[in-house]
Amino acid sequence: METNFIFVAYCIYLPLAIALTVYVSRQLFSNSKVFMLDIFHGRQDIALSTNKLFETGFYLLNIGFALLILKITDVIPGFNPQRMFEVLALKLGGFSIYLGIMLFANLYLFFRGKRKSSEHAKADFKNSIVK
Amino acid sequence: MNFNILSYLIYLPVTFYIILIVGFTFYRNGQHYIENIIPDNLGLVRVINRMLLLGYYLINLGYVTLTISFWQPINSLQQMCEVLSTKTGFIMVLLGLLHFNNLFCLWWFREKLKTVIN
Repeated sequence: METNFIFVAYCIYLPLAIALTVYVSRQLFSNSKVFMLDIFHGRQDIALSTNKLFETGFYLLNIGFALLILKITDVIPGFNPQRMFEVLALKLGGFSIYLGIMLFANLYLFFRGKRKSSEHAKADFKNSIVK
Repeated sequence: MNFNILSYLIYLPVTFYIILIVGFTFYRNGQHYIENIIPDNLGLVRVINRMLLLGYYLINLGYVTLTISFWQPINSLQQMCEVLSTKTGFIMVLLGLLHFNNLFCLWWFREKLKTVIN
């Protein structure tokens, strides 16, 4: 049987992509607790629940996407490690950019939630003064 | 050699495990949300939550089991790797999208409720 570089490429791609996702998600969601506590005005139970729910969703979307784009459609003929590295670089780089975009999307959601909750708090304060 | 049975044996436990773990996480953490929407009625909250979990399990596990019957024949280890990862990835992305959709619905519902009360 000829050496098949596509299978080797899968064996390199999968652990790297999953490790990258886990690392990014750990970083993001250990820091987002501060945001969540701020959004829910220090109510611990719902803030931590929301954090956990977002984390699960983040894992599902990103590991799912990493698995979806695994298939290499290019033909890597014979003994050609150079081509394998080029294909792998394209996949991993693209996945990394996708992860970055998802990270910023999540941050946008957190900032938006923070703004909304502070608007609500101000409105409640005004209502209480008027009454 | 046909790799189909082997890939079913990998596919079913992996997807079942993902769905069960994710469902249980949602069940535990979603309770606070429902409590937020329906305050002062813990019995009703628990019943709704449990029914939601049961529905989620039935639909997702049913869907995963059903898709088994539409697989094409798998002839090599490489092809098995591709098919398994594409199918599992599709299921996971689908679950993630549905989950974020749910979160937005809950958020929207809460905002509506606030304006109605005020």
